[in-house]
Amino acid sequence: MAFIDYYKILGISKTATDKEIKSAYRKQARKYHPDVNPNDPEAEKQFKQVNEANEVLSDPDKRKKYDKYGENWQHGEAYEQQTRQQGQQRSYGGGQSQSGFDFGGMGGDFSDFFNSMFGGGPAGGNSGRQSARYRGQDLNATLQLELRDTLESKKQTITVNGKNIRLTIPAGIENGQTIKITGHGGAGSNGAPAGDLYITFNIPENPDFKRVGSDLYRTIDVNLYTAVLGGEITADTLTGKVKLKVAAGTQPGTKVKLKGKGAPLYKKDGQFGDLYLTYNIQLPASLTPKQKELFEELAKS
Amino acid sequence: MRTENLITVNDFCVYHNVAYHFVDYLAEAGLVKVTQVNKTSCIPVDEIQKLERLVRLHNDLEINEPGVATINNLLQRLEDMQQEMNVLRSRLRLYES
Repeated sequence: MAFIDYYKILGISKTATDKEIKSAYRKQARKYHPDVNPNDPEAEKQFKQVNEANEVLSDPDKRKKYDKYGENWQHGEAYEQQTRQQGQQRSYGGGQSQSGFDFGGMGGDFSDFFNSMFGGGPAGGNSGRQSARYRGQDLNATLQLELRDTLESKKQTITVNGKNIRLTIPAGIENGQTIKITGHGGAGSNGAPAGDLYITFNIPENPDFKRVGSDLYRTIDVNLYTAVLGGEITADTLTGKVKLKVAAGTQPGTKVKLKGKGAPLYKKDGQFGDLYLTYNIQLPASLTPKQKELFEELAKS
Repeated sequence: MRTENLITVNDFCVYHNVAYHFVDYLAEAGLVKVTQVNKTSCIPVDEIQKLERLVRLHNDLEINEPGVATINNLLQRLEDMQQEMNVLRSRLRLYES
């Protein structure tokens, strides 16, 4: 467990006055407050540290204790190890995680360092910054899907905090998109409504199909002879193979649109985006003497 | 009218230790919906999350009502921009391989 320099976190000197601490705290809180840094875990982490620093330094008793230990932290730790050997048990609050879901609330959990020095969470009702909520806490989870999983709406059951939740994942959901499951967050206090569960979908890039909204893009190889003389090729789509006619004299980089062969439109049943194929004309890399002769003849023609 | 999905402005203010005026201001500015039931102002449950975010800005960071309204607008723009950036990013991936 590392020593935490609360003065450094707030950017103040060890001799800072109460007023200086308060103003430094406000400055940092404005910068890192989770509500002005949405979806920024780094800012949330910083905010927690700033809160913790303020919790200690704004409380005269805690500050005194911290200053005393702070100078001699190694001894403090040695002392702690000793007491641990004597069989005292301390329980540290661990993060919750369950079957691939990461939960992150905005709870005010303090560091192990804080807990070992001051014993447990913030004392009493003095921690106004971990503001009490009327409504239950919101929970966040991430769920990984493959592109092919998004073709049809799917009913799925997931387990969150021991409770089974049935949800429908609408077809066409996109990477990074979040859906809200109302009422499945933390319980509210005094009969207040429960929080919500937010599930963010993580859909890794498909090696074959690139997706922009509901349109898909793919490069497809066409050999030189088919491109020059015309012919037929077979192309893979998300839902199966299709045959395509290639016109004679097709140029490299030509794009064709396959209407309705893209990804489904989110919450628009039965509607699909388009699939764009870009032709990559393959030139022969090595020629037999006979082929070389024929190409030379072509060049002269 | 059903009242189970409503919380009175009064209850909300007491719980969060904010002035009635604060919610009034935000409602007038169109930031939260407040409905009247039997002459009592109530907040629909759907609005609570948004309102609590504004209350935290007000209480934690000591930002006054016009400031909260301004920050709310900027956050909305930030969110729109992030969404646009996601679309642009996925478009950019087409040209990187």
